[in-house]
Amino acid sequence: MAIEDKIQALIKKNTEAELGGGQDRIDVQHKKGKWTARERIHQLLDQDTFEEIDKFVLHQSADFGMEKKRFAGDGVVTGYGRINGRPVYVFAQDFTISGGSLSLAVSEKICKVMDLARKNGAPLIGLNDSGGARIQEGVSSLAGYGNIFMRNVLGSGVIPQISAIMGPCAGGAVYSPALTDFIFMVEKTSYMFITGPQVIKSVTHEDVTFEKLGGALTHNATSGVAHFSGRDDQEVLSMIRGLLSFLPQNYREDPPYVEPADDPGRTDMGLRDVVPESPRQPYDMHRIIGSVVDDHYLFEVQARYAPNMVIGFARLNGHVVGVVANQPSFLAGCLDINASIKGARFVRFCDCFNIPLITFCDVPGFLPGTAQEYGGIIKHGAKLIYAYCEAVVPKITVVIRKAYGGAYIVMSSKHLWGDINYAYPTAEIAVMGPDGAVNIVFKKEISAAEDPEKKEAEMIEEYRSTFASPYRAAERGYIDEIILPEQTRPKLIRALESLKNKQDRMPAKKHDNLPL
Amino acid sequence: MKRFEISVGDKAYKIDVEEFDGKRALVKVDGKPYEIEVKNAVSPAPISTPAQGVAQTTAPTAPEPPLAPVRSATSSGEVAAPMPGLILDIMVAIGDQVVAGASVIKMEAMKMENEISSPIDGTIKTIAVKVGDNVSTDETLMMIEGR
Repeated sequence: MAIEDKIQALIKKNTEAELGGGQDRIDVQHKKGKWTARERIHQLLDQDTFEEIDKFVLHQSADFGMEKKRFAGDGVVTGYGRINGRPVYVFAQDFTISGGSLSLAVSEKICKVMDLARKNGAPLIGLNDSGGARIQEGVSSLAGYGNIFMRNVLGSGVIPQISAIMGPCAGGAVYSPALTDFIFMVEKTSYMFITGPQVIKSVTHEDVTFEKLGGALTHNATSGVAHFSGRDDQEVLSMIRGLLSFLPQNYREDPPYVEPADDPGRTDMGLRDVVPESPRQPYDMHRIIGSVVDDHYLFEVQARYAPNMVIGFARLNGHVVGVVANQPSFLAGCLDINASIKGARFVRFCDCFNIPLITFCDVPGFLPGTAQEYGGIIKHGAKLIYAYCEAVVPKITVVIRKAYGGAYIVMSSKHLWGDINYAYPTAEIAVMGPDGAVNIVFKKEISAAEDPEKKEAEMIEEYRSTFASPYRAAERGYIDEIILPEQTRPKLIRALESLKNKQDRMPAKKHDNLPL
Repeated sequence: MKRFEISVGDKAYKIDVEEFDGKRALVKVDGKPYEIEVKNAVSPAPISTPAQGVAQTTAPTAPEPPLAPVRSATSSGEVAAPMPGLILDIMVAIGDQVVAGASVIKMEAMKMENEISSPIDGTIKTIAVKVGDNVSTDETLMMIEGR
């Protein structure tokens, strides 16, 4: 064959391969409102930076007549490129080939980019859209999943691993995203579950739709499995780019610094008005966070799950920080099971990737009730304590209002080795609220009084002015400084600057035993 | 700061726009603070551009922050108590039209006044409680019929 013919043959093969399962199947994908694997990759990455590898890989199975149904690339597109100029590795399952089902060959392609990402210290992004295991491959398909899970864990905490669910993701396949750092879901066209509606119906006789069982809203709001949801493929891919702009490439690097446009000395007198006069009134913690961070911009994570805890990424004077805050306008800002887990995972992620933690505290306690107790609030609350203790990144805390009891300790207090701990004049740092405390400490005096109700009210006022304040804690050095609210931003920025060379580590051990 | 008075359907609102940088606004609606993200940025250079560094093909989108103080996780029209407490105020009547996120009930719990909001757009169908009632977690407070 002449050389020119060989060149032309390659060009032809490339073009064919890039059609995946063929134009018809591409059209079906589009009709469902979904993009193809390559379209998604090109939308995700910086223009013209995608280098595809393994385009001609074929599955090696010969059972059930499969040797006649071989498509170049098999059910996944893999390779590397750049996002915001920084290298990333990506795999995108190709629904047009065998419904994106996983063969051993597909898993080998995925494992190859996972190994490259880990060894080269670059984020890994997986775009999931698959019918699951390729049944014709039998146990080889399961082996494929296992190989992927192992590499998810090898890479965990080494490089950021991000998953997007952009179609079906069912059965064992869901465990790879579950092992990654963040899960994005596309509303209405994606779902995740272990067992589907038909199996559930036959076993438990429950009726539930795909969307209700495992759609984007369910996992973002109810189960907390997913962290983000988007209207369509485009929005989700855009959000992934946004998330990556806050993250370092790997655990050895600091997050990307960006020249700030927002004045680091900016004060906000409006912060004096956020906390209402009455401790019984709620307010929106976003108002404080938004005032303080660069450009008022918080990239919130899991916004719809456990709204009583707010977490997200932001910048202070150009430096990335992880924000953790109680939200008084939901569940009175109490800590409960879901909020504790939400906070703990985020704190640990920030610690993995050298992201300092800024904590805003307004918590009256843990949510009471048998549901919480039977649900194990004891071990789940312990997770958040564990995460803060273990974190060696700079930890700065501002107590805005309530900080009672165990919840005070949990929210990045000085005792969990918070580096700088601030409090507002409105802070109430105490063992418990005045109403509860007084009825224990002054029980005798109240019942012996001529007018017990009046006595109780007197004692509550006395307790409030003595204990429900930041001064007791400040007298003991548990609070480093009580600050004027309008100064929050400049104070945080200076504190962060002072901590930029912080070095600390946990004692050497094989690994921790985080209560799970 | 700018004050606007607008009506949506039958309901009138007082809006105070405290800060607006073209992309993000801090507003008060009837005294309650909200943070709004504007989809079509007014200013030619959105402030968050420097954060991206290299020019890219698509601008990243932040996930939408919840605008309501309390957001129910369900997509059905049930308004349930998120925790045990006392009903302080019911701000709607049967037949009222509400939008998702509108406050419908005020209850006292954990020594605080908590506002419970509607999970969906709709019409108030039934109200199962009255002021002064003690309720437990997940107890149905009202049902809203979706539009």
